[in-house]
Amino acid sequence: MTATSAPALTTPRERIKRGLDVVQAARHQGLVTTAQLIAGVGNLAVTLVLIRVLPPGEYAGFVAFVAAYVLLRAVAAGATAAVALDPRLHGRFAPRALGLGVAVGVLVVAASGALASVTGLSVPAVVTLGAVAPGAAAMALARGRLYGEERALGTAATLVAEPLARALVALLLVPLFGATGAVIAVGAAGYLALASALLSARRGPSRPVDVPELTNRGSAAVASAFLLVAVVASQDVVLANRLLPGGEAGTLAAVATLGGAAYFATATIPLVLMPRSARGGRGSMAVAVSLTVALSLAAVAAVAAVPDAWYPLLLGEAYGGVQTLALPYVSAMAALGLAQVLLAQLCAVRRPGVAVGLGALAATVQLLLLLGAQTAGDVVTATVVSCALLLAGAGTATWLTARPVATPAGRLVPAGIDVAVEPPSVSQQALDVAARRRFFSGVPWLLLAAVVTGVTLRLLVTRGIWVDEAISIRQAQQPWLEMIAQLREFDVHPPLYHSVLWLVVHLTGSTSEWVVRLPSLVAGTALIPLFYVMGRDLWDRRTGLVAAWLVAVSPAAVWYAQEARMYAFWMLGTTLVAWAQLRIQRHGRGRLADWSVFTVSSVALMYTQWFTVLPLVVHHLVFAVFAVRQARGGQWGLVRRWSSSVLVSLAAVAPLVPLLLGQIGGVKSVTAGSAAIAGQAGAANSQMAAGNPDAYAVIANAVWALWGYHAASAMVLLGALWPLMLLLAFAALGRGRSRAVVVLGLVALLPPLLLFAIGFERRQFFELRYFTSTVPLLLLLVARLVASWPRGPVTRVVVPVVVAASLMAGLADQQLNHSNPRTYDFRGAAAWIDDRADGDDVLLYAPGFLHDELTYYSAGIPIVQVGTQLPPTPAGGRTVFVLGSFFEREGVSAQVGSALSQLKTSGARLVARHETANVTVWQYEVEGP
Amino acid sequence: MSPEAGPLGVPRPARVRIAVAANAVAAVWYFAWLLHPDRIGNPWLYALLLAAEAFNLVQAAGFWWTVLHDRGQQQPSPKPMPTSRVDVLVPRYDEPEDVVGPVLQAAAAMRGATVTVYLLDDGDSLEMELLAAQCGVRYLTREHHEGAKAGNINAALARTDGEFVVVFDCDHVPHPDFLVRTLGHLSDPRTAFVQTPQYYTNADRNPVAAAASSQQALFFGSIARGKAALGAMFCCGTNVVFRRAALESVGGFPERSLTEDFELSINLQERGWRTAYVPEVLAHGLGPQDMAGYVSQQLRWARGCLSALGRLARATLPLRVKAQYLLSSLYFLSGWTALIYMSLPVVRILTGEQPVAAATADAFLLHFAPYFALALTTVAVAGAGTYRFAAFAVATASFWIHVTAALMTLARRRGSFVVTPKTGSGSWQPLSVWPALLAMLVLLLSAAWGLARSQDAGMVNNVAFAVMHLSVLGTGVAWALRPAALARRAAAGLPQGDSRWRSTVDHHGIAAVKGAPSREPVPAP
Repeated sequence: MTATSAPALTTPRERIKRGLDVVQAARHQGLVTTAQLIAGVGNLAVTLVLIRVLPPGEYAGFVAFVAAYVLLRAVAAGATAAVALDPRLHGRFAPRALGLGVAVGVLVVAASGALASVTGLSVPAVVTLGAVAPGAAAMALARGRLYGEERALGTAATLVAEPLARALVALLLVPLFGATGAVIAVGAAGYLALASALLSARRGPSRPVDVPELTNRGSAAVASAFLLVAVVASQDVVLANRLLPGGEAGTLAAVATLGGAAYFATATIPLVLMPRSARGGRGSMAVAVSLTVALSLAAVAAVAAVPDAWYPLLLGEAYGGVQTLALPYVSAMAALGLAQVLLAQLCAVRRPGVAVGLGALAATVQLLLLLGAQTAGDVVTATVVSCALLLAGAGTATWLTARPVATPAGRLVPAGIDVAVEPPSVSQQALDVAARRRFFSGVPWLLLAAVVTGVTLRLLVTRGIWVDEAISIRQAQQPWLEMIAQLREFDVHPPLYHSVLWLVVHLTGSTSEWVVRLPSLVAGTALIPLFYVMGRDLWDRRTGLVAAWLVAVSPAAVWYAQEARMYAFWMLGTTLVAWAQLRIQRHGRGRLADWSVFTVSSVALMYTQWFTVLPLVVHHLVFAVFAVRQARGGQWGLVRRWSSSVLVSLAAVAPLVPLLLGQIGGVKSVTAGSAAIAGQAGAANSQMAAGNPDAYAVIANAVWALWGYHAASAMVLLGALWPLMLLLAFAALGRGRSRAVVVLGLVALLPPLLLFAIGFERRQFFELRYFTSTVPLLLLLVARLVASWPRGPVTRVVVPVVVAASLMAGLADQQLNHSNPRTYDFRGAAAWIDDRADGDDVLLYAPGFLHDELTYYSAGIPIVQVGTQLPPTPAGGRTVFVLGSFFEREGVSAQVGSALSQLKTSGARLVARHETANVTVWQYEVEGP
Repeated sequence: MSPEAGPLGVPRPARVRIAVAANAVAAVWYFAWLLHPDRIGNPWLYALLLAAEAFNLVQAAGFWWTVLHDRGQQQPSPKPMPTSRVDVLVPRYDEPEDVVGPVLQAAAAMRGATVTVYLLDDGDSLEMELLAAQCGVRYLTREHHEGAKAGNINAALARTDGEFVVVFDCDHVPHPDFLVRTLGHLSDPRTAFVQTPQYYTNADRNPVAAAASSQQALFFGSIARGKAALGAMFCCGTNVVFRRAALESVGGFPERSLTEDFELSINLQERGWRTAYVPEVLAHGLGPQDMAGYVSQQLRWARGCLSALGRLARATLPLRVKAQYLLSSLYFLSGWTALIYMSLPVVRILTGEQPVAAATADAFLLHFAPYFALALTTVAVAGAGTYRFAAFAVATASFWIHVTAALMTLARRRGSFVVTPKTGSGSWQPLSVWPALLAMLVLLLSAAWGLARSQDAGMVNNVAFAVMHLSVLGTGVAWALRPAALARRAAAGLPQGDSRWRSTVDHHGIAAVKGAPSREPVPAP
């Protein structure tokens, strides 16, 4: 018996009604948006007039007042969204809001003297602020009711009324009272707009409220979601003022002004959307998204079309450098506007909690990134990242809520049987909402918490740029073709990661630490939700949650998500490939979508890391066994699709062959000559001692994979705990194992096993970085174990928590303990030198492959490799810094010792010696000739 | 198509062969390293370690030999003999009515022969007589209760005359097709008995029974199938069909043994009788309900098997049969090895002395780890996953039972036949595991003292060993210390009562027998 879905039945009448709905939605949105644009232009016009009328000092006071007023309105604006979704809230909250507003106003007025001295505002301005507080709260609710009752004209009227009133009152009062008059005009305009809103609400019969009632908790969530979007839109400017030097902060302010205009233009769209969408108005979402995209693209296109030379003319010479940042920032604000529309849709389908979670995540990410920002470019990148994250999250969540829902009409029915479609007893809207709720009950808060924790940990404590990262950064700054040629000649990696890095560097124009690490951060963070979805898909929701948490706090996952190298990509791709394979095996010959993911991810992995070939071979061996079994049963579907996948993969990987051959040639010549190749100059130094791989090497790699990198002394003690592995082996007796566990186990363990064998010939290959792909699979297996073995109600909670806590302990030691042999603090060393150096000084360094590193962390003085000729000493003498690292490498100690000896012999005086993690700096004073 | 693992587990022979081969290589790799003279650290400790390792290697080799003969797939049953007269004997001592009643009802309902059921009541209970009448079975009692269970059966043998005799413990409920599936194997006149597995229904809801059941599953699965293929299966006292002539040829059950079934098997084998084994769960019994019951049962088995060693040594048996019987008897010395393994880290922590010298921990691990891992893998593969950690932990925590039994056997102290309790107390029973608790205390104090004294890698390594032993012992004794909580946990999400029949029926095709109902209602005792 086959099954098919019953076709969706629509009548011409329904189609006409749908068309009318769309037209109405478009008209409504168009009217309100036009009013919003007029309001924006009006406010701008008033501001421009005041700039010319008021003296600079008074204008500054006025701007400060407006900023405080906008903040007040922004806080209240969340309430607008909640009331828009359920206009009945107006009646419920209006008295309380008014009371609260009056209380705040009285307090502000009472404390006006103190507040004036603290804020720098004039006392009349503070008093005015207190006076407008009740109005701001009432305005938020009144406008919300207009949106909620879908009173387009009334909404438009109140939007336009405000700048109009502001202009008129200002015209009257500014000549009399100056800035105070302008301030009063702003407050009065607010009250006039409120009056307009209240009057509009009374005019004509209101639309009957036919949306489900919003609870207090729900309304708070909706308000919070919109507030968080406002935070994302504005906290960059606030923090930039505190964190950046004046010039950089000014640049950002200029950029933010442009971006703010783009965001402002679309701000009303979600508010118009929500009530329509909540009552099941068809086409409203499409109209809202289309309008937002159109306005956003227009803004982006306008900014892109402005010639660079115009910026100094428009904004002044001081802002000549704004053009490189304007486009990404305006794009970010456009993305934020679109994200806000999507979040509004989530609120409309009664999932405001998801919207709050996403908003909180974006705001947190942005805040963490902002705290590390050093330039306006960094701030812009922070905003771009957080807005992109929010848009991606909101888009995914909205898509998931919009998935087809199993309804009585859409149930699976046997083919060839006519089904009489009975009208459902409940409304379609109710069914949709219920289904969406069911889906999102599966996206728990614990997952969101894991993502937030994971992102925080990945941003919180970072190490300086490592030697190999510095090489990648240098390569990424070259033209793309030149970079590829460099890779071919001097590197040992395929080009995908480098190309991504190249794109990021060239798009942002920045090589700051976290910009170059952004791709890894994104890939490393993406692992967290991927683990959840994969765990839930392969086993159960509990395993998904445990897996998400384990990878969120996994030291190895955090480490590589903080490194501007390809390992985070590798982990992400490996996980995708494994998941795709298991899904394929679950469905006989496999679904095309899964085969596509498998093939594309496999190819992408081959373009990321050559050692991917090992897990891929295991994947295909598993497929081979599976295919043989199916073929024996006369089923050839899998064989055909597998063969196609292999052929497509081979064809896609074929272009890599010349690069690979070039790199092999490079490796041969390098091994015959110098000690290391550029692509991984520092790799050898993070490996274990020489000699054959042994049991402790296995333990060490296992510890690295799960608990991260630690000092040698800690590794010895951890290695001594191996008897606990016996306990684990005993505990595994009689435990069930799924196909997923077996396949993941094979793909996780066979590559390191092979590299262990190869290690007897080439010791350096038995090292975690060459089988990083094992890390995510091992974590998934641990997650499965932790999620499924404990049976008791207490142990089911305690065991996952204890395992996660042990990983966090490992993470803390890895990140904070500078005895970690893999931590090289070149950043700290360079900063130390920078504090003491001036232009005539010189920095000697060894070994030679630190060149890229010290170029990246330039201390502003010439760098010279130990053993080469120093520039002549100026007459006034100079300071010579000697930086040494990697002393365990052959010859390095001798080189540094020789340099120090020569300096001593030449009469130089040792002033200071600075030691930081695995790096030592000597400071010598050299007399002039 | 892969065979499905039923309650007893059916391994894939190819996998078993690969595991055994790899395990044998790893054993050679490890022992070649261990036996090198340079490895001798403290000679006494080294000798102890070597003795324990050698004993385990012998047991392991015996296990490999046995399981290599397990063909997994069940042979088709010979045709039943419906005209046969079968006496079903249900010996009873002090078991309550609710335990005995279902057995009598089910026994009376057996198909495939002319069945006469006898309740052999050594408790002389009027209620039992009434129960027997209600169930339509005959009630036998005797004037002098000598020879415990064996004496009870022998007395009944003298008063019955069926061609075949079935023995069920009074907590083992037979399936209606018990005789249909077993009697045909006695069509060979040289076969003395057909044994079937013991299976504990209360494993569903009682952790101790579950652990015992897991131990039983490994034995009645691969091991028993292998022994049967080698012609060395022995009688296990219940769920067994005898040829009366065979019993009479050896004078019935030996009455002076604690494990009368084992010695009976030796006697029969000595007389040239053959044995058969049907690896189907055809009767459901009750496992030990608490640790006190488990300890009582294990102590009786250990004492019986160890005391039979002398008889076994003297017996004139085919070499393979003798070797198999010896392996089974000697298993009850394995507690000594657990004691040695637990002692070594304690001695190292307290005195610094260790058995192996002139070797780095890395070298030890390199040689030991593969042997250990493959040994466990072989057990897992051969047992098809039926042997669980709980079974291992309970067995390890019962190490002292083997020690006690060996010492009592050496001292020639006679023990009395103690019926395994069929109802658990469900209470705190620390006294039933006090030697294990003492061992845990010693390990704990040693570990704490060691860590306080030094935190170097050597000390940490031995403390880790102590922690490992503590964890295993702790799991093993847990059911004596918190039986109620663990019983609740074990019950969560597991099939209950007769649902076990369904898996048995599905896996072994009993339901396919014409006329048999697809789901036989068998009340859980």
